[in-house]
Amino acid sequence: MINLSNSIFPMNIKNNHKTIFTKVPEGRPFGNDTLKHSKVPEGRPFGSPGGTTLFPQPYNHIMKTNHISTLLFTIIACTLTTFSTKAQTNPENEYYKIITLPVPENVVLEVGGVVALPNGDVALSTRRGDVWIINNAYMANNTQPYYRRFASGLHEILGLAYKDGALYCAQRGELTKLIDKDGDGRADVYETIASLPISGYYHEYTFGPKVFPDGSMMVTGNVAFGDQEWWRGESRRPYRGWSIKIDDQGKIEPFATGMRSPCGIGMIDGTFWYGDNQGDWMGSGFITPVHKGDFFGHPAGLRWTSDPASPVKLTTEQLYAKIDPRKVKDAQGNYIKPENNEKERGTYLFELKKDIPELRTPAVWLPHTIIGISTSEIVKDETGGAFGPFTGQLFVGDQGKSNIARVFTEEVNGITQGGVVMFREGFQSGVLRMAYGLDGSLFVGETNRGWGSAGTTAAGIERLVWTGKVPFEIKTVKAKSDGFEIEFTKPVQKASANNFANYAIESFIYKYHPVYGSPPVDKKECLVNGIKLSDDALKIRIKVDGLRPYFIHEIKLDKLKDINGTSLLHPTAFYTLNSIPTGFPSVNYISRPAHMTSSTTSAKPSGASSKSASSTAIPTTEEIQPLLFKHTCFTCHKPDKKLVGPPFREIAKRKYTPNKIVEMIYKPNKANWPDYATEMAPMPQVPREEALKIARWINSLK
Amino acid sequence: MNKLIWSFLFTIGSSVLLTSQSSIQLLDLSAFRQPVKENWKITGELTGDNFSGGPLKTLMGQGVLVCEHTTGQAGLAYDLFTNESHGDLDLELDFVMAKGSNSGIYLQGRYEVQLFDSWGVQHPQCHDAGGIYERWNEAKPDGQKGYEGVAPRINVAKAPGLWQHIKISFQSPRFDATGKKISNAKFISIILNGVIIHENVEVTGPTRGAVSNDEVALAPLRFQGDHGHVAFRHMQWSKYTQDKLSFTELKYGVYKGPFKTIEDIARIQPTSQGNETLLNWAVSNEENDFGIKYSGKLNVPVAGKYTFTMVHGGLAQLKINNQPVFAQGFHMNSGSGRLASIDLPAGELPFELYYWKTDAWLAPSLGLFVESESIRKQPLHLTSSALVNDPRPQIFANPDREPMVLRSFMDIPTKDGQSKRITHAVSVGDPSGIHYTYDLDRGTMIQLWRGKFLNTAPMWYDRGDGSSTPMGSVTYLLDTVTVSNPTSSASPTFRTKGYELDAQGNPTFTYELNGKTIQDKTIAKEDGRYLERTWTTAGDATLDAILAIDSSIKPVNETLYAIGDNAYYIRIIEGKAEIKPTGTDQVLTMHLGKTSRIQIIW
Repeated sequence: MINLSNSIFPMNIKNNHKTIFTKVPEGRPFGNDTLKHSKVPEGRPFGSPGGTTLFPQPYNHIMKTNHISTLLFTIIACTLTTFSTKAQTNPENEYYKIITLPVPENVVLEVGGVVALPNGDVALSTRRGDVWIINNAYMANNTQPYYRRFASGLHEILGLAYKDGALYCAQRGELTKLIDKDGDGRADVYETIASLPISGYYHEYTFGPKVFPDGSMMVTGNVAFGDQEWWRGESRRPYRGWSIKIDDQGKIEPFATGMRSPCGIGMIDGTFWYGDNQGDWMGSGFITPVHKGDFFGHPAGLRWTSDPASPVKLTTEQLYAKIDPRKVKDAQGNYIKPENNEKERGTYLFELKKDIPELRTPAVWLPHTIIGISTSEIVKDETGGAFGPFTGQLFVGDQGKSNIARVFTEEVNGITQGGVVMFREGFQSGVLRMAYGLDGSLFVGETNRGWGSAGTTAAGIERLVWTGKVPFEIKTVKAKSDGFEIEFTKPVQKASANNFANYAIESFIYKYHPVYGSPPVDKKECLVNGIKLSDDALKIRIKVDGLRPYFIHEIKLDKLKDINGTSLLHPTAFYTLNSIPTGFPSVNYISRPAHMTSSTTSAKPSGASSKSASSTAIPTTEEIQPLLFKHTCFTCHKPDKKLVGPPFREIAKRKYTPNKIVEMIYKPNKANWPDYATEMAPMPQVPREEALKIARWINSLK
Repeated sequence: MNKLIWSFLFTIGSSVLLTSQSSIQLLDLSAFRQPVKENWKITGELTGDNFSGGPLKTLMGQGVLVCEHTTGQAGLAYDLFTNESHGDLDLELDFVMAKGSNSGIYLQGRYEVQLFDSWGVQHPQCHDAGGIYERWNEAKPDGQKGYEGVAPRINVAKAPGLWQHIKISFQSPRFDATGKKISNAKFISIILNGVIIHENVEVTGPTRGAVSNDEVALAPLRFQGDHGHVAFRHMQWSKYTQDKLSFTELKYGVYKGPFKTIEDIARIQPTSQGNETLLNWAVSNEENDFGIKYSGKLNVPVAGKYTFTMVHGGLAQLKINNQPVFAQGFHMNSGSGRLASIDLPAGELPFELYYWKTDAWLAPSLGLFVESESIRKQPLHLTSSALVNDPRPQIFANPDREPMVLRSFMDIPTKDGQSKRITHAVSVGDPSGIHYTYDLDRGTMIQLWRGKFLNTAPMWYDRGDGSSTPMGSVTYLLDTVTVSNPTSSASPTFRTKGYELDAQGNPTFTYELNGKTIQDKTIAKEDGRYLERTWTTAGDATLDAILAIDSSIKPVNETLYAIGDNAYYIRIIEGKAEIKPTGTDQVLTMHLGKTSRIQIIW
């Protein structure tokens, strides 16, 4: 029969890294004075003996030609994608501009790590095992960047850090220090800091390191798959599915577990943060701070909790006593892949907290397909304004969706929580690693090999630069005992702010189960009962009914206008309300008019259960486009292009009946598409009539 | 699945032959045309120093065919001819070259595969080991007389005195009824020491030194014995007739629908029908949700055991002579297909094949090959029917001007026929064409090879599985920790410290054993003729290195050892080695002082 063992798992190359800003050459911490850093320091190239940074003229010429062809390609690509999630002119471009760095044609720059070096160079590590140093990466004077191979032959490097004058990287089975002893600009010492046990399964990626203030380093390890239960992540060697802390002597300290695909990594104010994405036991992507002894929900790593060194004491048996792993066999004795049961309420992760003290739920959920598909780097804006108006906030990359989301957090009753807003889409390839440059721009390292991404270029390096213009955005959302306080980057038009029709809030959550991903479930509309605009018109307090702890609260403000009549660039925030603040606010709210009973339209019927005998007419493209956006189909599918999932036209070629397509929207079957790595999460939330419309439209494409 | 395909593409190990080969017995010289000149004799195994030069030294006994050549003994009379003639032929044998020696295997006495001591040759020509020798035109001016020789793709020849393996698949020239040649002789493939060095090379006529300049359907095999010392053993051949299997009244019916079983097809009527001479799925005019039933007669020329190979995308079932050959089964166009053997009488036998497909993601394909002891593997399908487009790129890593160091998972075979994944492997490639893999977890050189460096597509195409595979003639060495500390009572603690590159790019590996630091450096020498490996320690501990474990370790002279049935040599340069028997194996060990040095020669 079909052996799916090696072909079906979601990827999740995730991430790593945040630059360690030690000192800039002037000897002051980065970010204190943006003006001072708006110019790239002209230090000597990293690790090179002297100022030998010449860019030979003939090469320069070649690079320019190459650059032009890249541009041409981009133009062609754009014309071909008029039917896409983004219009040709992305309004984000006015505020944050993407600069694509030219790359020599023969260099396969599948970026796994990015570091901005204090001398002005930028170091990249790649999945092909090279470390490149880019001189003139900022392309000051409009001249070309210069690529020098600093190290090579390493095993799929998915992280890079700079510490005490040397580069450190995580290979598949090792944390390695690279030293250029003779100063010729190439590493000659490849020192093993710690050899990491690994079984040799392809999915056992290793991410990091991230450097703690004390110099020790955090590395995370992906789980393996591939037994008969190929859908179930496994920890075949100690500390796969864990984050481990390693000191300079190579001493390994198991730190926290419950991770499935911990490509999302960041060091935020001395605390390690981690991000995962949907998969078995993971309902959706999220980020969270990591404390020693934490358990995040994936059972694989619990295999090692009986080790004396393990700070987590929870056992697999204890967990499975609380939640059914659904290891069920059919009549032939073969395991059955667990599927979502839309009729069953299921369990929510937070509900196990009372029994499992080690359990840490996400600080901020990143709703699947809306904010991302495969969480990658987590960085904090410490540019002091050079990167725009979001100083102190977090930026989270996504490989599959090729975007960056913005996260604001707060502590409520000692628990970290916060919200996420889309920030920038349209990167050429999957966003894997990010690091702030010395000028406060953001270097974005990219790859999509093996997993596909919304950006269809295979690999590369781009730079996100603030144009100096402030967009109208939700700056932060803060939880209040009776609702939320929303802060904006620009003053809000008073009439618009005071109109209750301009607020749509609903809350939902994900299931905690061994199924790949979860639909959003338990959706409830939250009525806004009071509004209070601040005197400076930058903040709105809203009084909200039916707040539910641990639920994701979607705050949709697409009708809101600023004082110039402009809509929000990104109108929706998803706030994870882990804890509701206590206290009795005394706010002079404007009350909701009695005639307005509901904030928007009525709640939709649950999709999978409702029956329909609607017409068989084929919807027009104009009719179908809003549906494909609404249900986030476009995140992974395009009519003709292979992204994360197959093109609609390929699906049409399969000649499924419309009902069969609907069935597969509700219960996707990975085995139908062995050439695609990322599994589709079940989407029973799509109403049946709309799913049927989509199905008929898909079939009309052939 | 991917893994399998990649490894099949670039190296062919010991081939599994389903058709039975017959041996050319080397108990005596009776298989060869008499009289046999005295330069040929039957002996036992190699012994003594066959590395340094002179005639090959062997033990008394049987199984090895040795030619001792004396200068001046040139001419056909010194060559060896088989009694039996051959046309199409698969020939497989071991050979060993004496230092500087020259020999050859002439198919049909006419088309020569050159044997030569090409050890260390960087750019092989048609006169080097495995070359298809040039043709010769005496009428041309000097320098232009030789033509159409074909050099091997790469040089994988071993050192003098070591057994090498060659497998030749040869197709004889074809003639029409009037005796006119209608197609050239062809080397379908030549595999030397596990590496494909030729594929589909036609020869327009006899090569230089042919027994005759005419071309014939059948003629004896010939071994050259007039240019140097050489020895052969393990001679196996499969001689093929030009018989073909074919169909009579092959009818097909095409059925439309998502069929689960043959019963689903059998109960409905075909949407189209026709006659064909070969199998071809494309008669369906559909890519999915169809079934095809073929029925007719298969003409079997002679009774015997026939082996069928079936490749298909989807489900298929085959019956011949009313006997099941392949049960209803699913296949994904992958690997080498489904295999089955069946005894068939001669004659027109009932043939029934069902092929049906319901998996839209799978490309349709249908191919059926047949072979037997006397019939070379032949298709019973239209070539296009078995081809599936697979646009995967070739991704290779090769050192250019300096050594290349590359980490990956590395799979090595185990004694039980399985494979084992080395997770902390580093491979080091040298521009001279010899390479090795080192296990960082154990300080062990696990394999070495000659040829191209690495196929990295398994690691770098799509998601990849993290592994790479050697692209050359591989010799497996140790699968154990190399250095031990026998006098220490502490349980061994091994810790790798990584490696450092020297100015030329060669790595020195460093590790700690019970707190003692050991450095381990290997360099390719003399145009890739051997590796030189040096251990450096503080010299303050009792450290023993295992150099080799094998059932056969033979001292050649005071410093040279032949390992594993003359597979490779180890020469002690600095230090002293000894052979210790352990169980069924022998172990070559060496005490490590401050500096210890060996050469690995092959």
